[in-house]
Amino acid sequence: VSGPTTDAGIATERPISPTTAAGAATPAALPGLPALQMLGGDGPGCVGDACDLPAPEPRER
Amino acid sequence: MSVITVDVWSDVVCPWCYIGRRRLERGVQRYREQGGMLEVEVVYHSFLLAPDTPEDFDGSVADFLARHKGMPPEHVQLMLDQVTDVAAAEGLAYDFPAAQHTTTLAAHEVLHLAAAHARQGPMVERLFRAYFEEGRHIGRAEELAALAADVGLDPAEVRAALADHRYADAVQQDVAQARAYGISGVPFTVVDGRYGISGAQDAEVFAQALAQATSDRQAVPTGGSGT
Repeated sequence: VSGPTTDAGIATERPISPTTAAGAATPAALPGLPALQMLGGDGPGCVGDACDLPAPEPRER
Repeated sequence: MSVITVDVWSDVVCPWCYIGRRRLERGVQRYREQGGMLEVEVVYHSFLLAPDTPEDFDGSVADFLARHKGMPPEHVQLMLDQVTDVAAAEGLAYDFPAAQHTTTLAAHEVLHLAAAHARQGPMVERLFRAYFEEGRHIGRAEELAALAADVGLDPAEVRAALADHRYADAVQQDVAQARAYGISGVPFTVVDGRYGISGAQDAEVFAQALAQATSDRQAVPTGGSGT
């Protein structure tokens, strides 16, 4: 169960209608694929079973 | 009030995705602290990192990656150890030796069911915690029903949805949409349908994207989109 810290600052969810959920996934939110402007370079993530190793970076805290 | 939608492609067993979730949350907080006024709505989308994973695998995550996938064991251990350290810095207690590796298809179906009840955020959080910190099996219907009940969903409805796969198409449409964007890895975040953020970037990147999306909205007088 997410606590107040977890969802702090993020809006209360609105239900996605069953029709939308079973039919088209968020059609209104993602028009005009795929013209994205990328920000921040390439961060760590996973592709298939392989995950990036963390870069040696100073911790924020 | 205008809403900025943040779409996140993620898999439940992706260690960087849970880390990225924390960083996104901090990014939203930072956006607020810096005066960002718009509502932010986060929507999670399905991504299947390893759809060929069996429901039951007898062994740890390290065993799976080394034995089943042929990755060098020393590389696997290094990867898991270092990601565990990064997770700890985000306040997450990863326990890879306890994690029960499994397919995530059913978990994604439950996330779509949760979205239909406006409980997707808590369900995402519950699944991540169950897999990475508690060693729960997130591939079995009974376990998923119990976890869903933890966030207020009806376990009987979860069992029924997993039996008839009513959300399977929604999962596949998310996967197809990811493909259309050219997404090959996760987490991948799209802010306001126009800014892409690849990977678990620093919180500041998310805050900047939200600020940029806000100023884009302010630059367009009126007569724009409504939701």
